[in-house]
Amino acid sequence: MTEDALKIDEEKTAFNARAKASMRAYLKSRTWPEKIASIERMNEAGKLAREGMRKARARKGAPRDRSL
Amino acid sequence: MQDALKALNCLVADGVIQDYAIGGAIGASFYLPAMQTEDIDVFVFLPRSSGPLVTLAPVYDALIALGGQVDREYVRFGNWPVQILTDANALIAEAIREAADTDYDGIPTRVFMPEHLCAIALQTGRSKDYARVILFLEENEVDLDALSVLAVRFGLSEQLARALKGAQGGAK
Repeated sequence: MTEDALKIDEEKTAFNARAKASMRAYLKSRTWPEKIASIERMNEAGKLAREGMRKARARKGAPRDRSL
Repeated sequence: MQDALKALNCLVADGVIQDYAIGGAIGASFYLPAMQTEDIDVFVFLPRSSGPLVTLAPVYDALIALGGQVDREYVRFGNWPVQILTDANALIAEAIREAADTDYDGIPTRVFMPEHLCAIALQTGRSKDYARVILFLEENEVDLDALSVLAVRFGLSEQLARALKGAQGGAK
């Protein structure tokens, strides 16, 4: 591991933490129906992702080898 | 979601179930940011039955009559599979009894209190259940004293200690 790989920019890290906290507060402040709509979008996105993955695997032919 | 809640309210009005409350991830999302889930967990009090066997057949029949579609162990309303679960133990029964009355887009409904959601999650004990309890703790959305009392009463103190350890780990 190089020295660069261990370097941390404290200011940017703090910025990212603030941004995450702010987004978290926003998400928490939403109404219950808004959150349910968000869950519906997550489920729809999950379905699309699984469908895409299924098609990609079918194109490749064999299912993913989990033995490695 | 609205159709499912309207149907559940009809079931209570018609006496098919005595009462119900929403638990699981949908219940948790009342207090926490949205988290992914595939279904709505609805815990119900069935009317007293003379028979020895618990059957959800009358509940399913009534939900189908109200527009639900049976899909494996669910009844589906629109995009939402509704899973009907019973008051299988004292903790769940208390959670239904003491659920919060609220509304969803103007439709009255009931949601488990955060302490009961957490206690039931500790009782269920899968990784995702612990993760949810940790989230409640981190977000200060659960009364820890009340949860501790529940944990003692229902023999979940060790599980709560484990979740608390996880929450402290996440706060570092």
